[in-house]
Amino acid sequence: MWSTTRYSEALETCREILSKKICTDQLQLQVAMHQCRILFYMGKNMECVTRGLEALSVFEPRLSSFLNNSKEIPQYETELLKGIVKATRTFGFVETFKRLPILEDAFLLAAHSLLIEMIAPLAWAAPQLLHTLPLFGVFLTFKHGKNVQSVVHVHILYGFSNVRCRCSRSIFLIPIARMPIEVLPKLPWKWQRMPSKTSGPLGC
Amino acid sequence: MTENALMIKSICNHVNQCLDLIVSSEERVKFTSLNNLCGEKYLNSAAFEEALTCIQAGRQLLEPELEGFAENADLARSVYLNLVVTLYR
Repeated sequence: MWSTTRYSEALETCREILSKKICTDQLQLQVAMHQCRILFYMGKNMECVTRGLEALSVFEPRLSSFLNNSKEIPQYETELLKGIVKATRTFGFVETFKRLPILEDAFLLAAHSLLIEMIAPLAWAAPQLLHTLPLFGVFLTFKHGKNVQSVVHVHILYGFSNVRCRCSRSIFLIPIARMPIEVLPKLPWKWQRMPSKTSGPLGC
Repeated sequence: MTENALMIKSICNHVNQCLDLIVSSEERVKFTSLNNLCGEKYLNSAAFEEALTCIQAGRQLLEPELEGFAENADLARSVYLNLVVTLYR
């Protein structure tokens, strides 16, 4: 097996495609997905997130501004959550998801793929948006239909909302495992070496 | 590997030796399509260098005048996307 891995050439080809007349909205999102993946492979997480948000601004123009202005993120997340709650009010979260049609629109499928590509770079470059974009993915799912990629976001959100879910437990355990040891609460007892019998006072 | 796939690869490898000699628009589109298909098959087999050779040949056959036609637009999009994927794999 032999890999080509010509990242700069691939990025140049992406730019070339975007400048061509044959480029449709769907192709733009597909190319953006590949650009994000290449930039992530190159270790350019911030560029990856910026490019992804720029492509997603087709759906939500505010997304790009959240990179520099994190104050408005909670309000936007509340809006998304309200939309999801409204969509799932009649049958509940799980049943509504079951009843959703399978998404076949190539444009929306590309958008969901792009959202998946952005999870890892978001964790490095813009952790303030780490909840926003999956929530946006869930919102799109309940609005248009389900697909393989959207299941990831829906599963995570359901895991957070359902404490008994195995997924939620694993998600909560990850931050604990990554926490520096100084942050962890001190134990009430202190480790001490047990006195050995030989070191005891003589004559006892 | 099926017999058809082997035949497609054999045709493409043969044609790619003399791309400049293919002047007919119809033939260029046909061989672009074959090269694209062949490239996808190589990609699925993780033979990236061979895939790149085929897809670059397809691109060379298609551009710049033929990709502008509406009937070739889908093929051109597919060739370009496959090219990007092959370059960074």
